[in-house]
Amino acid sequence: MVTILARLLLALSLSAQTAQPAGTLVVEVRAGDRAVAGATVRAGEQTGKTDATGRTTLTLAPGAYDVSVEADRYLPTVVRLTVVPGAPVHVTVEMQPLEEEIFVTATRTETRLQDQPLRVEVIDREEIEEKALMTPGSIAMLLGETTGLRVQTTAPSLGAANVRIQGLRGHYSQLVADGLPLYGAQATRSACCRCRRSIWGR
Amino acid sequence: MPPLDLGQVEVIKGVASALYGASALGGVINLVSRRPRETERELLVNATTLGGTDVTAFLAQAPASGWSWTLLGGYHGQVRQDRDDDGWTDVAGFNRGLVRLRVFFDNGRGGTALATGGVMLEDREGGTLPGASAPDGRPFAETLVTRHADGGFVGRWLTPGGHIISARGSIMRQSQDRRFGADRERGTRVTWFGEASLAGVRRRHTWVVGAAFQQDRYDARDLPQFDYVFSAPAAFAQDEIALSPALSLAASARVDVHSEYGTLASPRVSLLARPKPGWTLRVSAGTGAFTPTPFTEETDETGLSRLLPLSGLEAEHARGASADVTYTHRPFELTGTVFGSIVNDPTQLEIVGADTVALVNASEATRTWGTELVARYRREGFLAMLTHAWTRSTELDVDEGVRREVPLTPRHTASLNLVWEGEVSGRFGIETYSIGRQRLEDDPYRDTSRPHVLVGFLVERRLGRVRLFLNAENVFDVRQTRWDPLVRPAQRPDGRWTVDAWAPLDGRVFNGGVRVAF
Repeated sequence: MVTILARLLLALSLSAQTAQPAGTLVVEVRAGDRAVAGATVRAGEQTGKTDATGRTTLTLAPGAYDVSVEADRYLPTVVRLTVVPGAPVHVTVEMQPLEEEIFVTATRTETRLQDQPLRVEVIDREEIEEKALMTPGSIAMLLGETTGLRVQTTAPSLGAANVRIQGLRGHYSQLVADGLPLYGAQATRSACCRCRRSIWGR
Repeated sequence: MPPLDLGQVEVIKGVASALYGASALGGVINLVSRRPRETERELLVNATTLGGTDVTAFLAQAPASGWSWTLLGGYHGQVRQDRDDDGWTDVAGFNRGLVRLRVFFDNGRGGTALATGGVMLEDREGGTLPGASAPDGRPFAETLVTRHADGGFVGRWLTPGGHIISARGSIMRQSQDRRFGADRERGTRVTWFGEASLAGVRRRHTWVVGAAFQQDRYDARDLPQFDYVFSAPAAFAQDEIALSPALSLAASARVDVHSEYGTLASPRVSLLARPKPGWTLRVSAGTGAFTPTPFTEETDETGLSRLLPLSGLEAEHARGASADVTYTHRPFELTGTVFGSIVNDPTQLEIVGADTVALVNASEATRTWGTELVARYRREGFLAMLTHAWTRSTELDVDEGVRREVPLTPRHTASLNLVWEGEVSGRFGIETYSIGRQRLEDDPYRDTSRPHVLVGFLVERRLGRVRLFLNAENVFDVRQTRWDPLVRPAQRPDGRWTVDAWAPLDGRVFNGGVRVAF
C-alpha cells in the first residue's frame, strides 16, 4: 500500500518537473538605428538567425544564459540574462561595427583619423590594393584619384610630372616617406618622374 | 615608390609649413610604408600595350622578438613611343631599377623604430627620335640619367614619466645627367635632415615641442653658377586641446631660420567640431613660406642653361584657410570643402632675352580658391564614389603685366568610380573622369584646352594565391596629338620645344598581369 503511494508521489513529482513551462527569449539585434539581419544568436544549446527586422526567438529552459551574438562586420557581443517561465524575455543587443582604426602619423600626434582637427585624407590599404594594379610602378594614379590632387606633366618629352594640391603649383607640394624627405626637398618632381602614361588627376 | 610597398597615404592639403617646414606650402603627401604583420612574399608582373613592363617583388618577414623587415625590388621599363609619327617622343622610354630595405622594431611597450635604405637607377630618353629632327632642322634628343640613394630612420620611445621622445633623420643623394639637344647638365643634390621632438599629454592637452635641421645642397657640374647650400634650423611647437567631447582645437607654430631667405614663421590653427553623431566640421587657417630654388615646373623641362643666376629673390609667403563638413550615415559619406589661399611674392619665370629667362618674384599675389565635393557609398561588395572640384586660380603674368588665370588649372573636374568586389572571386571597376577647360600659356595652337572625358576599367580575378588583372586606361583614346601637334614651330626663349600637356599624350593603354603571393 505504502509502496504504491510512494511510487505515485514520485511519478507526480517527476511529471511536475517535465511539465514546467519553457521560457521564450526574443533577441533583437541592432546597430545604432539599423536592425542587423542574419546575425547568429546562440544561447545554451539553441541557435537562431535574426530576420530582416533583426529579431529571432529562442525557446529555452529557464535559467541564466550567456547569449552570444555574431554578425559580419561587427564585433561579437555577449549578453548575460535570465530566462523565466511564462512571459517572454526581450533583449536588445547593440552591436559595434568592426572598423580598423586608422591612425595618422603625418601630424606627429598619432591620433585617430576622426579625432584629427587638421584635415588629413587617408588612402587606406584597400584603396591602394585597388589602384596598385593600374600603375604597378608608381603612385601617380593613386594620387591622381584623390580630389584636390592633380598630377601634372611638367616635361612632356621626358614624362616628368609633379602633384598639384588644391590648385597650387607642384613645387609647393612636399612628398615624404614615413615623415622623411627621402625624395629631396622638392620631391614631387623627382618621385613622380615616372609617368609612363600621362596620368591625369582630377 | 611602387604601391606594393605602401601601407597608407596621408594627404594634408593646404598650408602645412607648420609641420614640415618651408617646402610644404601647398600640402604634404606622406607615404606610410607597409608594416610586416606576417611573413609574405609577393611578386607582381605587368605588361602594357604601349611597351611597358613592370616586375616587382616584395618580401616581408613577420615580427620575431620585436624585429621585422621588408624588402622591395623592382624593374620598370618602357619602350619609347611616338604615337602621332611626328618624329618626337610622346611617351618617354626608360629603364628603372630599384631596391628598398626597411627594418622595423617594436618592443611592445611603446618603443618603435624604423630604418630604411634605398637605391634607384634610371635611364630615360625623349625628344626627337633617332634620325628625326626638330622644326629647326636639327635633332634634339633629350636624355636623363638618374642615380638616387637614400637612408633614414624614425624612432620613438616612451619615458618613465609618460612622455614620448621621437627622433628622425635622413640623407638623400641624387645625381642627374641631362642632355637637351647639344647642352649637357650634370648636377648632384644632397638633402639631409634631422628632427627630435618631445610629446606629452596633460589633462586635455596633447603637446609636442621639437627642433629640426635640414640642409639642401646642389652641386652643378656644368653650370656652377647654380650651386647652392641652404641650411635651415627650425623649432616647432604644437598643442591639441580637447575643449569638450565635441570640440578640439589644434594650434602649431614653426620658425625656420633659413641661410638664404631669413627667418620664416609658420603658425597654423585648426578646429574640429562634432556637433551631432554623423557630422564633422573642420576649420583651418595658417601661413607659410616657400624658399625658391632654381628648380621649378618650367625648368624641369628646359633645364637651367638659359636661366640667369638667381639674385635678389625673396621667399614666397602664403596665407590659406579651408573649411570642410562631413556627414556620415552608413552607407553614405558626404564631404564638402571650401578653400582659399593667397601667395605673395610668387616666383615666376620671366623672359628677359631672345634665349634667356630669369626667376623673379611677381609683384602681385597668386590667388586661389575653390570647392571640393566627395560623395561615397560603401556597402558589402560595392563602392561608388562621385567627386567634383571647382578651382579658380589667378596670377600676374610677369611677361605681359596683366592678371591671368593660372595655366593648366581646370575650372571643373569631376569623377565617378564604381567598384564591385567579390570576397573570393575578384573585382571589377569602372572610372570616368571629366576635365574641364584649362587656360594655356604661350600655346600657338590654342588659348584654352578642350574639355575632355576619360574612361577606364579594371578587372581582377582571384584564383587562390594568384590574382590576374586587366586594366584599360582612356578607352576612347583621348589624345592631345589628335587635335594639335606637341612640337612648337619654334623654340621658346626658355628652350622649350613642346607645348604644355593638357590632355593625355599616350592615348588608350591596356595593361595586364599577374600578382602571386607565396
